[in-house]
Amino acid sequence: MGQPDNRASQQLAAAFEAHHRRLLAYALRRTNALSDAEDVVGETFAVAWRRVALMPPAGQALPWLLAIARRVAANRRRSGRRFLGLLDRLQRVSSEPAPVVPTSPASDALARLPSTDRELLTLLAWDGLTQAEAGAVLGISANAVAIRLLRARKRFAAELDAIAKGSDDDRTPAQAKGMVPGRSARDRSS
Amino acid sequence: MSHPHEPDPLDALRAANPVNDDDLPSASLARLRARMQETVMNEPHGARPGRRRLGLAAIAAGAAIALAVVVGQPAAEPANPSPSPGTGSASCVESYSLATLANRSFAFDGTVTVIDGDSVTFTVNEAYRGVSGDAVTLQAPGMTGTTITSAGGPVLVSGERYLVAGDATFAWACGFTQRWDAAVAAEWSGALGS
Repeated sequence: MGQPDNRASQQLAAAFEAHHRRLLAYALRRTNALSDAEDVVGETFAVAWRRVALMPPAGQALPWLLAIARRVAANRRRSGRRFLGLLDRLQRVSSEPAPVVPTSPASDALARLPSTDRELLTLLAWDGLTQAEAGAVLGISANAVAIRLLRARKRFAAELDAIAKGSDDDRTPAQAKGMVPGRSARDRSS
Repeated sequence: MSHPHEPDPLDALRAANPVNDDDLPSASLARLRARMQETVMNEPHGARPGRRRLGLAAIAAGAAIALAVVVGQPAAEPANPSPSPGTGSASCVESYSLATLANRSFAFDGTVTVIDGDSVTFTVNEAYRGVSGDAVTLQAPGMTGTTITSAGGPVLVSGERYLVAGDATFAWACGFTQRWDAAVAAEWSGALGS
């Protein structure tokens, strides 16, 4: 039994080397603390090890691993909500602060989208997946990804526009009327 | 139509990526490696959690995912037998004996100089096997007081002298790392042929 075990462990090790950074980045974006992200990745590889016979070759394993990580993170969020509720009641705070996510019009626009849109867009834009790979993570066909992406992209662009217009309203009335964003009134008058 | 060129909105999203793969904390990545090793050692693939079957799988996986030693490179790269933080596992892959000590890729008499998380730097007083240089930095999860485990390892203290054995970049607990003792040191020297 040594030889098959050896191959399996080498396969998992190769997948770990190839993808653990991207998995940790993925998990960190979806959790509130580094320790939680590590737990997600650790559990992901534990699941991958149990199912290593089903794992694609290391170079193609990222969507498969992300699909596991997605489920692990979702499970942790569910249990985490219960746990945080308990913490709130006890008026305790976590020793590890939540990561500071810099705000930007894009991140604000993303936050306004339905979760299905957010997930697809971030898989493509942040995790660097192809549409086919994103489909594998989400468990939907490439065709479904294309349709969902078309809609998500439109909604995202609309939210970006809305935020830009809102920001313009905050700045100057002239900008709110559709002037070039970012130019000050003094620039325009010159 | 004030914007003749419409940028891809996803470009704005890409620019707003809050986590860069290249900026992940190295300590976090190291903890993941240790945890990965433990998973492979303690949980046979294709089996239900809870059953234990250790062997070449653990050693081979450890070989592939070993961490880099800062100074003094041990020769082989099998797995770390001591539990990584937070898992609660308390098994030893091998029971300590002079015979199993001989299976370790490195062994030395060293004094702790720096403890940084689970990373411990030793000055090497005497190298029995697999260590070159005057100092070596190893991972010693469960032995630095950062986590509570029952792995059978000492809590390493800066300035104290230990006999240390392990594989890859990991000091093994379970008797393979222990406080220095002249008689035991002589046994190690004899068993390891130094």
